[in-house]
Formats: sequence, structure tokens, C-alpha cells
Amino acid sequence: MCRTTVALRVFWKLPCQSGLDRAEARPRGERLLAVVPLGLALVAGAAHAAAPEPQWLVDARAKEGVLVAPHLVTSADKSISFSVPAPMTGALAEDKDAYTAVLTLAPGITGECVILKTDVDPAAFLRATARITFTDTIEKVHGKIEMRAVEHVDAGMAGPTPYLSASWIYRANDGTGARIGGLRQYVGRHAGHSTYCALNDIGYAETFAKVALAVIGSLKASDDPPAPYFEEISVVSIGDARVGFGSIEMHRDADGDTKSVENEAMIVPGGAGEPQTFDSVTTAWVTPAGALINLKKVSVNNGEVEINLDLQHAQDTGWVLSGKFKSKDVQAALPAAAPSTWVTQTNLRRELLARESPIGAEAVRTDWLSANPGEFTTTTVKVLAAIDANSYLVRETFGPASMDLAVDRKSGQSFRGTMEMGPVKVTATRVFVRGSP
Amino acid sequence: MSIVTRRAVVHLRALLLVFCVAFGHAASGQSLFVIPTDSPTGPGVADEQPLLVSLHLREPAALAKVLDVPAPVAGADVLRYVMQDYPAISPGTKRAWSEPSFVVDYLDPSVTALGREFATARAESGAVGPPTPGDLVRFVHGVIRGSRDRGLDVASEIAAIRLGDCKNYAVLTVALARAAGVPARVVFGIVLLRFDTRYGAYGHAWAEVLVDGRWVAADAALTAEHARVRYLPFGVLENEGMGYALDAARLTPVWVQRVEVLGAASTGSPLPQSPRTGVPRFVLR
Repeated sequence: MCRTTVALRVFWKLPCQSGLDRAEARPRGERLLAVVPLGLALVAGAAHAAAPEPQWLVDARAKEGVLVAPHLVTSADKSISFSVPAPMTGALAEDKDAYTAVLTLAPGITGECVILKTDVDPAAFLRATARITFTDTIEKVHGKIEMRAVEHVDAGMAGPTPYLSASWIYRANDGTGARIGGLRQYVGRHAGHSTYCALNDIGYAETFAKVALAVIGSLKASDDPPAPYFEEISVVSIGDARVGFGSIEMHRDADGDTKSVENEAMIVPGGAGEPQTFDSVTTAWVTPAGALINLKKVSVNNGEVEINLDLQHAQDTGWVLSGKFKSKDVQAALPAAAPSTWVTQTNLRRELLARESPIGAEAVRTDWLSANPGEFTTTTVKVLAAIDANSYLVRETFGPASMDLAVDRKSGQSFRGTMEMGPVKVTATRVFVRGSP
Repeated sequence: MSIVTRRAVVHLRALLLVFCVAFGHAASGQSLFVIPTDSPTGPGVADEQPLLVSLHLREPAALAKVLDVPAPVAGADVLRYVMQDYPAISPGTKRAWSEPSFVVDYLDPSVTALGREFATARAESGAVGPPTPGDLVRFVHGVIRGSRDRGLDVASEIAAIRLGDCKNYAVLTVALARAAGVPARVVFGIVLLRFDTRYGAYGHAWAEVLVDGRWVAADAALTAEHARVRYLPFGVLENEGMGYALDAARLTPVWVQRVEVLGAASTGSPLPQSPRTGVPRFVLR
């Protein structure tokens, strides 16, 4: 059995810094707008009411381009292809790290999509590329960035691919006056490929969104790995804002064991400056009966590895936890137990919901949580109410936290979960499922 | 763990984002975690005056218990509270708050080295005796550079990188206090800041230091940024082990979700007294 280690790529070390450097060699000054004393009103917090935007800014934001019929773009080496509803400016460029497409949104207005040959942490990648774009390109062309803020983040699905996006507004000053600009970013990740699209313009938002999501959603690569036998993707929201996505893929090896790989990415605007980002990968091996064999968890916070832990079964002593947690070396023995897996949890809920009167039915299980990695956590699963004929509301309580799940009675799978965390409500909603676990 | 559940559990660490004001930039923050605040119309309330607020949250009775004030009527989703003196809150467990822990690892060489810097600085200023909250705040404020790039780091890492937001200011303050033999703990809550006649409430974390049997706020992150910061603590970081992120979820029921500033409160008579602190409670004018 293969027990591979999943290590997240930290973008700082990625040699390819996307195509933006090259793109910014072209003059873009004309796309920045007139000098305005806009100040911080655009990013004012709750303590101050935001000033209405001046008409010139409203007009600039409203600009859109014209899309064309989608056309197929294939790399010269036939390795990748995608479909896009915008004319290409020049050919698809290739270097050792990426393919780069410059796409025309309107006369004189181009966006760029970069198909990376390596995997990236989507949220950290957005943050890192924004930083590089501001400091290495925009500042050099338009002067000092006096203010920048994330106006909007989003997450969702483009075809079979989850994506994250961030829209920035910034004010640059080259000494002759302040100018307002916008930076739009999209990143999608699927089957080992990552696509990054960016536009440095305050307008053309919808046009660019359609172009970027078309590229992300239609990307095909000749080296795509075998399709998983089960795949599920969910979108994470904080309040009404979609801020992240999660996915799980399951593959079976020759022994019948399942390797599940869960990816998560989240980007949260955190005030003036940069957003907070979270990326993680959890790889677990599970027996055909659903028992955990081992597990590896890597979490990256703002591009820096925060958790890198292995949970290994020890024949005599239960479990051994080892690795790094918050910069510290960790080596801990956990008691003999059967920590739950995706399979056993689904089975447990299905059993509860199969009862004649499931409401009020309750069971407990043992979980290993990365939020409390030094010990196992007992989780209580309780059926609260029927949602409709086919689904129930189930509350899972783990330590001091709880989450309410909408669960399909027949499969035991949850398709929506809501959790109150402090002043905010976090919701994870399944948006894509293929196969059966 | 089902994928939707794991999404949330993974992001428990993100919950810790809730706990910080962007040191000195609260007014320009576009954070999702700014607490909606309604300000009264008309002239402002002097910073020295007690301020009556309505706190909207999931379990007002639980917060009333934490703050040691009378609980609202059953079913209410609002707790009326007067912000004046720094309130004493009770943790759920009895402990000395002086021990090293995973988060407050003050025996680590990087923290002890910083502790020596702190001791030297105090000696040079002629200070004697145990460090005061003011000593700690001044030193930590000068040591850490504000950064929103960090989550909640352990003290040894903070001492090494000297970066962070309110949480790291708080953890390092607690570590240096404990290293000097002064009990201290990390608390979470909200701060109410005044901007002219309007108010803004923000999630925040700071340290409490035990002085003469009373817990005193020691906030190195918000020092001279505002004329007056009104503090409302509602929880202590009890689990200083690797499960600290999960522990923070314990505070969800008492998390204030909206603040209505109602105006000045007066010291009319009779004054309800807090049985724990003896601090007078104020009634609406």
C-alpha cells in the first residue's frame, strides 16, 4: 500500500510567479482612473458610514466588454486545452512552470490566465500573487500603493472545478496625484492543476468573471489522474459571503483500501491590507471496513505551514501523533480507540436515520480533530428533526462546539452544515457530488 | 468526519480571527468580524461617564453570569449592561494562572531571553518589585510589530518573530508576567471605541494580570490609540494546550453579535451591587 505524504506548496517558493510580471510590462496606466481624493471612504468600517461613490467611479465600475463564441485553445504540446469566450492576444505562451493566455476583454483591455504545471494552495496563492502584483508591478508603474483592501471575495464551482476569487480596490500615488484601481483574481484547482486569472482594472467585472471561470471550468490536461470513485465539493460561507471551498476525493488501491484526500481553502477579508487565508490537505487511508489506517494533516495559514501532523496506528499503544504544530515538534501517544472516518460517520448517521422514529436518536463516536490534535474528542450525534421526507436535521457536538447538519436519510451523507462561531454563522453547502463512497 | 463538518472544524482556527482589532486601524477595517454597533444621536457621552449598552447575543443569561450581573428575563435576546469599571469575570476552572503551558511556554529559551530584556529595561528605569501591568504593556507594545499575518501563536514563537495581532500581544504579555511570577491569563471579549459621537465594537483579546487579588486588563495592542477603550471581557482562554482553538468555540453562546449604545447611565440610588466585586451598578437615567 502506498502511504504518500501530501505536502502543500507554499507559493513563496514557487519559481513561477504567474504571468503578471510579463503582463505588466505592457503599459496599463490608461486603465487607472482620474485623480480623486477618495480617501478611505471606500473601505470604511462599521463605525463610519461609507460615502456614496462619485459618478465617475460608478461609471468606471460599470464598464463591460463583449464576449465571443467560446473557442478551444490547445497548447502546442497538446498537454492542456480549454475553452474561452474571449479572443486571445497572441498565442498561448509556455515556459517551464506555466502556460499563459492573454485574453482580450475589450479594445485595449486584457486579462490573463495562467495554467500552472504544479499544484498550489489556492487561498495562499491569491494572497501571495496579490502582494507580488501590488509591490512588483503596480507600484512600479503607478507609484506607491497608499491603500488597498479586499472589496469582495467569492467561492463556487466552475464546471467540475472549485474556485476562489478576490476583488481588490487600491489607491496608488506616483507623486502627481492619487488614482484608484482594481485587481480581480480567480484561482481554481482540480485534479492536480491550478489555474490563476487576473485583471488589473476597476471595470469589466462580469466580462472577466465569465472569461476566467470558462478557462478554469473547461481546463483539460492530458496527464489528468484517474477519476476518483467518489468526489464531493462544498462551498463555505461566513454569513452571506462565500469565502471558501472544500473537496474530497476517494481512490481505491489494489488492496481495496481507500485513500481520501480532502482539500480546503478559505480567504477572509480582514480589514485594510491583506486577507487571511487558510489552506489544508488531509490525506487518510481507510480499510474497506472503514477503519482508519493512518492520517496526515497539513494546514497553511497565510501561506505558512501551521500544522503538519501524522496520526499513525501503533500496534500496542493505540495511536502516535507526530510532526509539527504551531512551530513545535509534537510527539504524543493517544489511547487505543477507533477514530471515526468518513465511512464510519456516514454509516452511523445512516443507522440512526434508519430507525423507525429517528427523531431524538443519539449516538457517540470518537473523532480526531486538528483543532484539538493532542487527544481524541468524543462527538455526540443527535437527530433533531425531519427536514422533509428524505432528510433530517442532525446535530453533531464535539467538545464545546456543535454543528447542525442536513443529512440525507438514505445515504447518511450531509449536504449542508451550519455552525455558529462567535458572532458569525459558518455554512458549508455541498455543491457537487459524483460517485458513491 | 463528513466533509461539511470538517469544513467547519478546520475553520475553528479561523474563529480566532474574530478576536482582534486591527491595532490602531479599527476605523478603516473592512473585517467580516466587526460587530455591528448602533450609536445614539445627539451629543456624545464623556469617556469618563458610565455608558449604557444593549448587548445582543445568543445567550444573554450566560453572559450575565459571566459578568456577574442580574440575568435578563427568560427568553430575552438582549442584555442591558453599563460599561464603566473593568469587570471581573469568572473562569470555569480554578487554577493558579502561573504555570507554563503549550501556548504560554515561558520556560522556552526565546521567552526567557526576552524576559531578561524586560528585566533589564525595568532595572534601567529604576523599577523595583514585580512588574506592573503598565510595565508589561509598555514593554510588549515596544517589542511586537503589529501584523495581521499571524493567527494565535505560542509565546516562544512570538518572542522569536515579534509579530502579531492582539492575540499575540496578549499571549506574550501573559508569558512575561508569569515568567516574572505574576499570575496572568488571556481573555477574549469586545472593545468599544468612540469615534467622535459614534461608537464601534470589535472583537479583541488582551491579557489580565492579577494585582492585589484583582484581575487588571493589560492590553499592549491598544495603548494610546484612543482616548478611552471600554472593555467587555466574556471569556478566558482556559485550554492553553493544543486544543486552544476548539476551546475558543466555548465562547460562542456569549459572543456579542450587536451592540446598541443607549447613552449615558447615571448613578441613581439605590445602586445594585455586584456581589463579587462590590462595584456599583448603574441604572438608566
